[in-house]
Amino acid sequence: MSPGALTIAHVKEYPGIPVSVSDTGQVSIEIRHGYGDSESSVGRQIDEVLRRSLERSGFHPPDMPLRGTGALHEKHMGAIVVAPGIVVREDEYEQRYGGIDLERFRKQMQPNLFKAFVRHIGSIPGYPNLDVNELASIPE
Amino acid sequence: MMSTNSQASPNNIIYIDWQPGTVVEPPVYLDANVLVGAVISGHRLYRSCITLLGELLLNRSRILVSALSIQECLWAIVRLSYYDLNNRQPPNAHFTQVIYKRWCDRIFAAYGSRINAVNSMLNDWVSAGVQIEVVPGMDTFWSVSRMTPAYMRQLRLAPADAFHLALAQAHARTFITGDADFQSVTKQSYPGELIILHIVPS
Repeated sequence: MSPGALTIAHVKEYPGIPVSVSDTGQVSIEIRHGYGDSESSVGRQIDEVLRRSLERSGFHPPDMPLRGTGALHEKHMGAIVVAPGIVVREDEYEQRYGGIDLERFRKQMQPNLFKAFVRHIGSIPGYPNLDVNELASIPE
Repeated sequence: MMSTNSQASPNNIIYIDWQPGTVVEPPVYLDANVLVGAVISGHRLYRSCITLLGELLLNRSRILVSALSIQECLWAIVRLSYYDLNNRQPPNAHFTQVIYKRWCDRIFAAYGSRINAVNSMLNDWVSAGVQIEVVPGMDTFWSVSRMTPAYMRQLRLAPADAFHLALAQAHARTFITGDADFQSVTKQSYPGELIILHIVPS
């Protein structure tokens, strides 16, 4: 790692950025739009780390809003933040959550329950003529 | 809870086609098709499964599952993975346990991370405070085992379906399923009270 590069230790110590590191080394960073550090060195490095990570996950740079542009915080680079830490592409959002009154559940469920709910639903792509009764039968 | 789509047997076994807004009386026993129907998107029952399960979580309803349901969910995801690997869909796809053994390594190599999706979902729900119990316990195991062949014979249900029904009758107030075969229950006389809530597209 080059001198001065951003490490998770830097991010963890940076005021106002909620970061948790699990025992297994998994890092969770809560991202919010509109922090006052948009022009700071650390802020730019965080943007860069996130941009690269999202690009590797298949999200497209042309849709990326810049920090401080006033774009909705739920949408980043063609991705939608469904719950803290759960980001999906727009097409995946439509497939998994389209037609479901997610806002009602978001408002009425405890945040940890809502996150547990949306994390798994529709995580495996299916298709319209799929018969789940048939699918779940014990095969011969 | 009764609606125009409900049918009651002489012994208060009620069969209802679910619709949004239907009040669900806990505890609820979930058939495998509802559980796997929630983790697989895009099928005709998907939105109903999600909406109904969301309501159960919202209401902190007591949820019952069985090892049989989990086993059927595993088969479902393995079967779908085999279809995906071969780029085929029913009725042009056939899957057996012999095929599974032949394709097991390839299925897990390509889709291993999703095989346990239902278990992960239930585990996360429990961590978020949802009350989930696994049935049967030893207190009801023998009665459930005894009732299963009776349901197989009288309702012509497959062993797994008869076992689900016996479990639901022993433990639950509401049995939620996507399987319309259970409608035949209302034509017979059985002890106990149970609401069979049949998931239909919404």
